[in-house]
Amino acid sequence: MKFGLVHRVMTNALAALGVLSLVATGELGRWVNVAILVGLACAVAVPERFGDNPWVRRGSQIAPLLFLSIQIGRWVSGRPLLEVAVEFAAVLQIVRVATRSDSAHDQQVIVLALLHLIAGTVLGGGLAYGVCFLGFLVVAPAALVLSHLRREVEGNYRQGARDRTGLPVDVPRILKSRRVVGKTFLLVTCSLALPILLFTAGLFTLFPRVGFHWLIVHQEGGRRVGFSDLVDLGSVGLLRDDPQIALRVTLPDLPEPPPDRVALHLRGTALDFYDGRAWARTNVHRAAVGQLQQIIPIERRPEPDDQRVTIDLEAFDPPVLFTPPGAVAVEIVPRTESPFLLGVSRLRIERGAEGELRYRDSEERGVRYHAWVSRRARTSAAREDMSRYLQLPQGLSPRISALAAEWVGASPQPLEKARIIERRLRAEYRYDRASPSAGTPHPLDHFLFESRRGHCEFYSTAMAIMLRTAGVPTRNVTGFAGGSWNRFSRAYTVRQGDAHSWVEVWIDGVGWQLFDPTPPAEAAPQSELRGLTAFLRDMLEATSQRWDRNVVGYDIHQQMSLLERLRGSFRAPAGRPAFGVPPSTLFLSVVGLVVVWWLVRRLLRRRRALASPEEARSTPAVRARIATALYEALEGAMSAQGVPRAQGVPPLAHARSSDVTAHPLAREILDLTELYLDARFGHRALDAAERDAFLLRVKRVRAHKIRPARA
Amino acid sequence: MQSAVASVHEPLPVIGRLRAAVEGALEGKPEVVELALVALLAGGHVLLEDVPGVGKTTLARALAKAMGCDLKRVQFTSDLLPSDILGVSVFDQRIGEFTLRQGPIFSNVLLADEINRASPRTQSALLEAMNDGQVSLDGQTIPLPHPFFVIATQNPEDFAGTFPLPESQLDRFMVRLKLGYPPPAVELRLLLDRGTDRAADVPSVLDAASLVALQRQAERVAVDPALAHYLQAILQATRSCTALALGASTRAGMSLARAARSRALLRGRAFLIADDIHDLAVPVLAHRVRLAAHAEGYMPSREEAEGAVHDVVARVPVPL
Amino acid sequence: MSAWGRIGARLTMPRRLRLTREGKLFVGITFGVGLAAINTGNNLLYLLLGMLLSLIVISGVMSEISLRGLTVVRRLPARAQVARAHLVEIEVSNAKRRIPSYAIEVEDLREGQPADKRCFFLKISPSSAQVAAYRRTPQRRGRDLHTGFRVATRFPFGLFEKSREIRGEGELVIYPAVDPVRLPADRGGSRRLGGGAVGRGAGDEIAGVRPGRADEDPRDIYWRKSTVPSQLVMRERARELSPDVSLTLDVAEPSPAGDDWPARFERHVRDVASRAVAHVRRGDRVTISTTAGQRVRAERASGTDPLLRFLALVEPSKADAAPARPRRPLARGA
Repeated sequence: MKFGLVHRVMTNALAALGVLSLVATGELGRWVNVAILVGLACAVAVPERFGDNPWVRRGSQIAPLLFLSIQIGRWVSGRPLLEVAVEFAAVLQIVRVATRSDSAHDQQVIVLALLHLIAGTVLGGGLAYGVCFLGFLVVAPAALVLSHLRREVEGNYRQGARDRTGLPVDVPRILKSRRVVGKTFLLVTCSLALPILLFTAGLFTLFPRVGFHWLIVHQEGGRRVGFSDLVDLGSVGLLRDDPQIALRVTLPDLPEPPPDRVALHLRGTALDFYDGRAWARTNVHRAAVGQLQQIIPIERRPEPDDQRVTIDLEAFDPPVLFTPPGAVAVEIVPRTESPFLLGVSRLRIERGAEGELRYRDSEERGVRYHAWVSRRARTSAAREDMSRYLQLPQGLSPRISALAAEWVGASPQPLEKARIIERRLRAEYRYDRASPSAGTPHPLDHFLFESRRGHCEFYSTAMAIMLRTAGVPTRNVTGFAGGSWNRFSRAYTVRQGDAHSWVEVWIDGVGWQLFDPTPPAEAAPQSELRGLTAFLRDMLEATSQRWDRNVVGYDIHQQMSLLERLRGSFRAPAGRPAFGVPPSTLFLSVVGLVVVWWLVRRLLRRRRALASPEEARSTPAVRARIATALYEALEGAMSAQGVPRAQGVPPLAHARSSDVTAHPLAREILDLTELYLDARFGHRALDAAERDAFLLRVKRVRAHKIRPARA
Repeated sequence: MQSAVASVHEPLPVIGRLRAAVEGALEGKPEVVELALVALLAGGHVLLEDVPGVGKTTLARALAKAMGCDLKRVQFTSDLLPSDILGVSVFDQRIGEFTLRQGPIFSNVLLADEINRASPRTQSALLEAMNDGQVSLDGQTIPLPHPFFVIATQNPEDFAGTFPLPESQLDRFMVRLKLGYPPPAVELRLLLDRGTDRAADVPSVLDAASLVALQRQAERVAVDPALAHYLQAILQATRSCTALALGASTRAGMSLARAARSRALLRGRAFLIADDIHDLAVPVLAHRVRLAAHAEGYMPSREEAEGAVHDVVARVPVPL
Repeated sequence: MSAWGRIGARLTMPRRLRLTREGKLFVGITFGVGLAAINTGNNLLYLLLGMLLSLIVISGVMSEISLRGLTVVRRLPARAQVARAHLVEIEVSNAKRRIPSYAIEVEDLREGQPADKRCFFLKISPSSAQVAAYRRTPQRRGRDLHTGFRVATRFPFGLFEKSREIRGEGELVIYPAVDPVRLPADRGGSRRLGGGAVGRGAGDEIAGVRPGRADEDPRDIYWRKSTVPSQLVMRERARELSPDVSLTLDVAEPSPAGDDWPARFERHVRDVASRAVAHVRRGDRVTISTTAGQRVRAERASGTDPLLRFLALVEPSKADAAPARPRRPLARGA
């Protein structure tokens, strides 16, 4: 491999990883990202001598300044500083990569790449960044080593200098040389990534997590908007196929195998007032009920009998805690907090009307919480003032109450009424996301009598209002309905597309009970992925979750528990192995790796040593190449035996030198050397059998064990 | 065209006998004998440089005898004239015209003892004959017999009253050899031996015609292009080496190539290998280069020159 | 016990570490990232910090490996002279069996002089050696003591320069400079012919022969060789035994030695050396004697080495001090 080429490829890779980690932050627009990537590809594809052209060089000095002034102009005219700066950094790198011509430029490329990575760290941090980081780990040592060597070469060998053999030592010659770095060199430098990774991981886990939070200004807002606590039939409906993950639910006591989909009905918030077009809340008062690491009872303190459901909530607005049906209490799992700030935790939980729980946080990050679900039916609900759950909008079409009366008939029980209406709605109406009723002045009326098609909000609104006309208190609940199983994270993934709306009905003696009038088959997302795509998506999402939880969200509590576990595994070695990998699996995978490595090595060596037998009979040049390859194998064996041949010593002289003749295999080495000389310079064609025999003998030489007597 | 020795590692029987015959006269010095034979098979001349009394003359005589050639010996002194070597036209009073009286140079082997004692003019007369294989006397050109070798000896320790050979003339010798003292065992045997003339007992293995045939065969030894590049790299390296003020000439390179071919033949190979070039580089090149002097008024020793050439060669990568 | 001792010795092997410019930048960035990580508690910054720190650790380990198992040998020229460049060869051999050493810089350390001479080796393959040479022009005569080498490497990332010193002594005597001198005509009125080495003169020895021309001294006709009457051979007679040239070097330092005295002394030495060499080259026998009583002799056969060596090491002697103290660095003033 040519030194210069390897070096160029490696530094290009480093630069590309830096730019990619910038792009992965998502600070830039899509078109800017595309432009940057195209520019990067062009810069990498540009021929090597491009930077030597004086015009190009001048251009490469002027262009960044020009761009800088443009960016300053854009900043002054109101663009965000961050975006402007990141764009400038990326463009600077692209210009440098395209026009570099010496080692000083290479160094700039490397420093820029490092700064890009740091910027990516600060601004981004998703899984894409993680991949860039890993790539950086692999490429950085090789790129740094090669750049360093190139710099040394340029610094130490001036143009026109000559070495002792009289050959000119100039930089281009060394850059073209294949002797400086070989495959082994590259392999070793790239595999340095392993110790670096281990060391990095060690430092990462052990470095005490103390956040001083000096000079840090927390910014509010900026969450993703996904789930909505607004139910507005007048506007266009919710997007049901948004695949963005809203939350993940880990359920206890799952059957094996777990079902692919479950209906969870995670309750977010409830609305009590319907004005004929949209739902709203009458009571907007919220009261702080607790903070971190506190169990917040919804109904009561959790009991040992209760099931614990763990939910990872992504950050989005509104910051509502979603609870499964029958939840009695929640507890927020603590996360990275500076010990200095533990007492004044910034995360607070507030309870609003209609059993809504909200959290208030200074950071734009999701929360992780446990919810305790009671197995028993509730009994302790006390009836309060129900009048607001019976309010009807003004100007409600009378045929709606007529329809309700018709459906309900004579049944006196509220439960019975609710069941009937739920059944009728499910059976007689068609689910349609693009309901034509959405834009009409009386959407509910239009849905029930004209279009007879609609999405979940129509169903839930219809049921709630119809029950109210029948004198049953109801409220409209929004939240997430379904979840799909992710086999990698062993949790149910709930996406923004799973947002749903249903009804809670007050049953005396029971309390609020859940009814979902939407046809269940229709409520499932329409475009569920299957097969390999689903597999890959699951894997990616699970990795991303782990990255977020274990790397981005790693904190002093995890650190402590990890240390505890470590101590535990030391104390009880017979127990469960640490890190959850059984020793047999570990052993087998190590053996497998060794075997694969050995096979690959063998294959490579074979292929290098032997051309195909047809070639052997062709030209003298090919025969010479084969003979040379055979001798190179012998040279390798001699090196292994501690008698390597120096470059300037001819093979035969080497075989007869005193170093070799002192070796127990001297005779064999001499024989093989003579065979080689015959084949190489005597142009005697070796057939396949002879070559195999030669290689076999070489192998024996290599494997020969020197007896201690010699030492 | 395959030669008779193709891919045989046993040398021709006649070469073995030749070697044995010469080694019989000069025991314990197989390398020197081989180098001398290499030069002779390549049609080159030999410069033997050593102190007196180590067998220079014996070697020359044994070589001549084994090859079945006639040997003439000239002791060079400061009053030796070119005509003493080449011959002279003498006015024959009986027939009234000049007749050429041939000098000792008209032989197959000329042993020029202590060549550095003669004046430069005499030396150059000899060297011209060595180069062209002919002699110009009184306007006529007379070819020398074929084959024609000069084995010159000189004593490197002599300073007084000597005329060291300049580089241009040293260049005409294919190899420069040093005999050195014989191994102790051999020396002991020589001391115990009654003073027999060992060179006289050497059998004639070849005659002039078969020697020429052998020389032809040496010229047919195959040379791989990679080895030619190797040789050129060595020459180039001597020219650019900082330790050498004067590198090897093209003629030196041609000599090295010829010598290497004949060494291959001597070793029983029909093809050249890198070892041939590598091993002969010092004896063929060392007397043709000039060391860069580090101080005024100092004459580099032979060892330094050989060491420098050796170092240069050791650093040229051998082609595989 | 001995194994522990060896390990201890290995760990305490004298090493020096210096930050390069790039290293300072790198450490600065690392420091910044670390500060940011501790301050913000951003885990990704901790991750990055881990990577940067492990690069530093890997760099230390690799440079250590690169420096280990290296032996350095110096080859000094046989002779060196003031104001005339000579080459010093440095051979570095790598005794490691599998691992090459990269980017090795060897500085040759001389006693009491700045280490300004260095050789660079890009790669030294396992169990092999590499030779490089540096050119040096000595500025003063005397004994140059080479004490050892400083072997340094910035491998692998160019962030740190790690160096260690290896002992390796060598001594080189620097001869004084020699200027070309035109000597006064010889007493024998010698003619110089074609670079002729031996002077011709009126001695009894025959120096050579040449064809005769008309009107030459018939006494020089060499009858033994004159076979053809029309072409006489003339005999050239060698010069009479060349005379002993005696040169004196005044080494006594005057008691109120002026500031320029050392310089004057050096000039004097150089002058004597030039004349002596010119005489020897002409074939004269030369004796140099100092006022302190030392003498040295040389002639053509012995070469000029004894003379130059003597002149290289000669020291001025204080008028009242004992003459000639051996082995002291010489000619400090030059």
